[in-house]
Amino acid sequence: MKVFTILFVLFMLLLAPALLSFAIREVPLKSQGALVNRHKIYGDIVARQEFVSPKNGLSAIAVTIRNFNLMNKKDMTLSVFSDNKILRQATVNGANIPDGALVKFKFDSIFDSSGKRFTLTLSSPDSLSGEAFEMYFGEDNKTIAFSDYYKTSNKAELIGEIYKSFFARVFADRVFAGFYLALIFGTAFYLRVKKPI
Amino acid sequence: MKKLLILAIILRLLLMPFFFHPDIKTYHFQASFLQKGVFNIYPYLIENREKLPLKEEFVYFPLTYLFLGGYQALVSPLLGANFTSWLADASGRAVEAPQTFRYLFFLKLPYLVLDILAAFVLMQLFDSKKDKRRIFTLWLFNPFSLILIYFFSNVDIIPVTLVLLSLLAMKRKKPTFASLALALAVGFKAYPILFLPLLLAKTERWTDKIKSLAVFVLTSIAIILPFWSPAFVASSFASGLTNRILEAGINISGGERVLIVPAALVILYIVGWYRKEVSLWKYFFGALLLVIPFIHFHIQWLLWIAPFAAIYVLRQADKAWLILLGAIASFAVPFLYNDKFMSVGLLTPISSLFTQISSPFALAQRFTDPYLLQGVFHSALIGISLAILVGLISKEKA
Repeated sequence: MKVFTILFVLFMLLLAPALLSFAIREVPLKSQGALVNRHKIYGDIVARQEFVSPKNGLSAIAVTIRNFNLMNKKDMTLSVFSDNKILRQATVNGANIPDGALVKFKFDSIFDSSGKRFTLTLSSPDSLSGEAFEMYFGEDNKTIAFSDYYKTSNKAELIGEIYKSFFARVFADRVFAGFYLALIFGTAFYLRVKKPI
Repeated sequence: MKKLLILAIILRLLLMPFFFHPDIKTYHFQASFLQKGVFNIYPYLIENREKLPLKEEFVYFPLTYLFLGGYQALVSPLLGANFTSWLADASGRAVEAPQTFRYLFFLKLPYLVLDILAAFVLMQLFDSKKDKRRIFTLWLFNPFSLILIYFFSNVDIIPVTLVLLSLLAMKRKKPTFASLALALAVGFKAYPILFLPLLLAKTERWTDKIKSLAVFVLTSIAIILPFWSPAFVASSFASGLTNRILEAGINISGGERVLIVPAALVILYIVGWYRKEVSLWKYFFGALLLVIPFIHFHIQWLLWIAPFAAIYVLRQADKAWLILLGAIASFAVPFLYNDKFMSVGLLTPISSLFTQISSPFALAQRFTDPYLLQGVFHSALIGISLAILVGLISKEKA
């Protein structure tokens, strides 16, 4: 049991993140930013946003949506337009929109999306005013606060990015990182020099 | 033994900063109000719910608030200026802050101390050196308690250690101290109250029984009375374990329901009263085997059973496989809950990208009804628990 426990700890720290990475289908690029203003989306009211995709493989757009008391069970639809033509559409039903949740609208990835200008619209034509979804906009009150997601193709690159980002964050708190490493190595060294039982 | 201890500490230090469950942030957010002068947290959270970024009630008993709030005050210089805003961050992205590792390390440090203390208390329950070493190893080197304490990082290790102290006191024929330890345990979480009738049954003299009961009641009143309010009752009594014990029932006529868990506990208490030759730890274990499998349990509650499971493995090595099967079944049930923080979410300090991964619940939905699957594992857990319980009570081994 002792050996199994040691291996378990090492597995969780060293291997589990890499293995889990294989289950990541898409990664977000842009953070939503500050969630400042809210607007109701219902009936004819449509939220519209233009954006230029920086990467290939655009596969989802996520926005934070309020669904007060989980009242609204109608659909919310994201449409992705390019040159006034609908390229992709994704619908999420209100029953799957918890209040204040980050809702991801997934669609078949646009493999050559890099550098292209898209128009995003979000609408819920069947919703009424009293039960309307509310969507977050940024500080300018015009830009939808959204995250864009891109399909992962190179798993090795993704795993490398995950560990790189992890270590960067650990060492960003240099004082703690130094203390922690000293503690671990110091304890391990003490263990090594202790006579075996 | 020192080498084992140091190795155990290293394993824990390796885990502490890198696994996160939102509960640790929530209850520390709530405990942070102690430093701001809020004594009675229960009505404060309810009355100020609209203003607060985190809206949950404080569901633990008062000593948890005082302990966590006091500890925070002690280590606040080490946590830094951004700690308070990290606690109040309700965006779900707090775990991405670089100081998260520092916060998780220091917030889990008391649990490390108590975890090690629990190992030493367990050792004292045994007389032979061989048994002492074995229980020490079993407790410190099993992945189940590591997951429960350092991944889910709930406060349960505190009452667990106090319950073990209570058992140790009974072994040393000090029922009053045992009762005090039990009352202090209840001051953190309600579940140790299940053990009181068994402790009293095991106490030999009537004068000691009365004294122990008085100590328990007076200590509990001293802890709870300053906080007593409708908010306290609603937040901590009328939630969690208390309600769930009363859920499993059989409908009989006249609008009545016979409650399974209380009925089973009454049977256990009566058996405990008449069969005093059975060791007390078996009755404590039995009480939990009757409660936890028959309710919708939080995974953290499995820590309550863990020390008794370790003792059982030591005492009945030929049946250790039952404990292993039970542990697997008991972990499988919450693993399949519709909650990413029962699985992939725990690794978000390493990368927040892991929240993109479907939970086991969502994966199971593609093939079957995940609630049915939960039910299968839960039913297996009930069967294993009852089988262990029958074996525990039926004959006493030295």
